Amino acid sequence: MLYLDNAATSFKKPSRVYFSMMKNTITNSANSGRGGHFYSLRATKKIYDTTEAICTLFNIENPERIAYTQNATYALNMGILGVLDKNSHVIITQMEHNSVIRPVTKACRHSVIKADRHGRIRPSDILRAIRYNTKMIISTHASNVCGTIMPISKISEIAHGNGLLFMVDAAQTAGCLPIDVQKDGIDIMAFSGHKGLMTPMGVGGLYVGENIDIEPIITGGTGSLSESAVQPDFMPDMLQSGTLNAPAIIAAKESIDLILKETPGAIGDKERELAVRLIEDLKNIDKIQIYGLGNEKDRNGTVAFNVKGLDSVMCAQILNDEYKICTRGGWHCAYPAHCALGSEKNGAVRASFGYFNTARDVQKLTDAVYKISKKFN
Amino acid sequence: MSNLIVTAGSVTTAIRLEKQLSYAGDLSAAVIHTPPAINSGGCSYSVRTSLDKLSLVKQIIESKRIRVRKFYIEEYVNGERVYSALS
Repeated sequence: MLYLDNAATSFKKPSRVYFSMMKNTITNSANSGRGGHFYSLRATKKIYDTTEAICTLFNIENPERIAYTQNATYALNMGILGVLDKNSHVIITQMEHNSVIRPVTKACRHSVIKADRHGRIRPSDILRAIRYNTKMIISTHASNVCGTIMPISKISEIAHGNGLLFMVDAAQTAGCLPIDVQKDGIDIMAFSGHKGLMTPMGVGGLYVGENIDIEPIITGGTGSLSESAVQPDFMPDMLQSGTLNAPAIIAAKESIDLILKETPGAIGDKERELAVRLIEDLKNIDKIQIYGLGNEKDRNGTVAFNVKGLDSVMCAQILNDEYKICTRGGWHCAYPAHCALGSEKNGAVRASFGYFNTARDVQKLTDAVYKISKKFN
Repeated sequence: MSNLIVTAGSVTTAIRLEKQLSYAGDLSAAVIHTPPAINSGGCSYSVRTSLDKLSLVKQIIESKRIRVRKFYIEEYVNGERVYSALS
């Protein structure tokens, strides 16, 4: 099988991640932060090593400002529901994933900044959407549908220039685009481990900048202040209740070290090159509709397209069944983004490149799409 | 020999301090579960190191802005551990 669904998860991980996961399942499965015995403290220290690597990757000064979660969705819910209340107003973009749209809809009133047919927004539109009670601006770093990268530094300037918090959904970019929370002016950032960071599943996190008022939405055991019925007010315990997935978090350091060595910029460039190559190849095939940007710089390794006359889910199924290629059809938990791109009726086929993909994979997909387009047109 | 106990709320804070101390050459620093005698009944974590590292500890806490709680001296009196708060 050819795996091209890295926007959903990076199926293949560096081998050192598997070895670490296995080793630490055996040796470091004691409960971190619970008691003072050797095994618990050893697991905690190894988790902290991963936290330090994450800090290096995102230029986070204080490791205590990172809380681990199961995935980016949990992190986004924590950041959104923990900061906003029913009297708040929040601004999001049309390119957000349901993991932003749904908690925001639950939390408070929100304005959506329209995107163009390529998934781009105009930062100046954000200015016009700010209200007296606007508390936060939330933007994905890159669309999970078409890979368009958002101008987060510009959005951050607008947010901070108007006294607002800026939250970034880095699910699609952590590990494959440079992220610097200080330079980019990010107050809160949710990230997943199992996508671009190539960690095992069950690893995500929320970065919360200093002095940001956030309430926990999940409370419970933290291994600290056990005498109190009230959740600790210090990070990361405040946002980190329950047993951590120690072996997976520890294994995450292996892939993050690899990413640090190769740099997220270089990895992202390679994935982008594959995407651009695919787009150029698909352009030569009749009856193919491509969504989003072409070879512009502000795109990543995710490509959305359709074979005209063929439903996207059906096309993805044919790619799977007849060509052994894993893509994802449908709406990708981001219907408004499809409305912007013009693919709301049938969704789109999404091919998303990752660390292990090569130009040969592009060729294989192009050949398959060509044959499908001939068959159905 | 007297020890210095620095209490912290979170185990992450305690490990951060321990690690920063080790970077600064204090390899004797270790994270421990806060002794009940200086705890208010619940769980917390502390860093134990030699009392003569007090100035280094304070310097690191200040420069790295590590939020610790209190400082205690741990001494052995008649075979028992005795704690006194450091003002």
